[in-house]
Amino acid sequence: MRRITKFRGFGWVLGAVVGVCVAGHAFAQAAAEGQLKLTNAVYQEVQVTGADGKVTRKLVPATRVAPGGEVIYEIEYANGGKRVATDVVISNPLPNELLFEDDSKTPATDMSVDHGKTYGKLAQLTVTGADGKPRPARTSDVTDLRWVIPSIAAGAKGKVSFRARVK
Amino acid sequence: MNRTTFKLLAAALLLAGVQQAFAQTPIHTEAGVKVGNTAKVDYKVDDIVQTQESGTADFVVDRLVNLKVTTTDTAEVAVVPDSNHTADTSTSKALRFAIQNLTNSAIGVTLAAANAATSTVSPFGHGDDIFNVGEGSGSFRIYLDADDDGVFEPGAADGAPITSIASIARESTVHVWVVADIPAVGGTAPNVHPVNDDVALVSLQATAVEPTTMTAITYKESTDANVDNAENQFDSIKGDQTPGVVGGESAYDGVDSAYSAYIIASAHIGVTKKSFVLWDPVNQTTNPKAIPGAKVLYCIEVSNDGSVAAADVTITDDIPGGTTYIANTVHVNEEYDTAMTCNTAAATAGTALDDVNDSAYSSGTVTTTVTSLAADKKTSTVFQVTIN
Repeated sequence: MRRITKFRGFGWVLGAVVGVCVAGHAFAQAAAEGQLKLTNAVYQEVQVTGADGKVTRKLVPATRVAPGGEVIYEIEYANGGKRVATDVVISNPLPNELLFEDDSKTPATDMSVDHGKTYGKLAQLTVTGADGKPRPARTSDVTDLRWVIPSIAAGAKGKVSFRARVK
Repeated sequence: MNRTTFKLLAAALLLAGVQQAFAQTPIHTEAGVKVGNTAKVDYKVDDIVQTQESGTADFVVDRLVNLKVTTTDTAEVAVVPDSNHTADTSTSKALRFAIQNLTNSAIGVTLAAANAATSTVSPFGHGDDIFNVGEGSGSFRIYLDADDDGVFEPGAADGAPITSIASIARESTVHVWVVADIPAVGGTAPNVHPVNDDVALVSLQATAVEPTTMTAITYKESTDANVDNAENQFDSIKGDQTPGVVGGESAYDGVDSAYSAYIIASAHIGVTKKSFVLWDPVNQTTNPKAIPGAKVLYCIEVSNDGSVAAADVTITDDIPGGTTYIANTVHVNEEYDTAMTCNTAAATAGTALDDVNDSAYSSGTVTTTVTSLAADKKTSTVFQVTIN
């Protein structure tokens, strides 16, 4: 099965036209078939003291965050199609300005410390230390997170999230 | 602040001729940077690979305001009383401070130099604050070390006195000089200062302000629990976790300060005592020997090797055992340059003192006083005895 490669501008349009002409293949552009949608939102956690003096935490959308501040990303996925989606892999390359902190709420299947070249469990990953020698990778070395979900039924949705800190 | 504003600021800095290089790679993300995080999903339907989908979430990095003031002096700066800093512009007599902008963007600072309260503990451990400098017409002056060369060059490379700095680049340090006139020795107790070894602490306080416009910064949060959701507005969070030294400061106030200190250089007194046989009954003045009946001249010389005058230098000497003081032989040579020779001429040099009227001799002790012995000068007292 040929995988559609996105080309910019004219090239992409040409590819789609070619795809339609070849009958029998189901392409992702056919909107009805098992389409996943991702929405990504970033929050900060604030402590709110209620009238009863009880302190609770709530998430507020983050628009401005100072260095050192922690943010929480929530990635929601939804299968709006009629077919089950399989071999689902959600990957999140971390922006340079962020340090990965925690994924305990929805643990990532594996992580990368080399910008997605290789993935593994954090405990098994190593990086080259400042002294030139390998050392175990720390959360601050993480460059990419990955969640593998075997299947998402038609109509189903879910969420993965992680915390990071602004450098 | 957006990126265009940063570029304009950078141009302004170059025009002002102030060079501020990063000491090292910046620690914090620059304020105003948009951080976009894109999550992607790959999946299959009916075993056919589908087009990758993605979702992005953005936020903008806020400004974390933090500055640190320290002194680069490692000891008190030695000065002499009654000295005018405009007449003496040596680097060794100027206080020096570092202002470190730890903010993730450029900020301006307003500056203030002041005396510390009496008894404020000195950062250098040589005695606490005891007198004030820079009062009256010789008020404090702050200069930017514009070429950052560690040399005090007022009126030249370091320009005119300042009360603010328009812009210190993100995560950079500038240095400033603080000078003040030193008061004269004076007053009666308790206001006798400054005298030798007296210390005057001076604080430099820097307040973070908007760069170039110098307007006050509107802070959104006072602690590091920073959350603000105002759109299209540049927020500022205060990041200074410890207060400075000046009274009234607190953590997270966007202000920092530090002390340096002046010390009055001490006069350094040294004493030497010599004797010379002037005459003996057998040889008279030709190679006289120290035999009974001989006349001996005692010479006590005091020198001030310090850089400030010593006040009320009193020489006290007991007549040596086995000798008898010869009345009214005390002479004082008040102040001179070259070390004396204890010889016949020295016996009558200087001013003759009367035992009674000048209290020069009483009950076996010679006492003389000079009210002031300038730096690098000497004074001496001589008297004669007969060997018993």
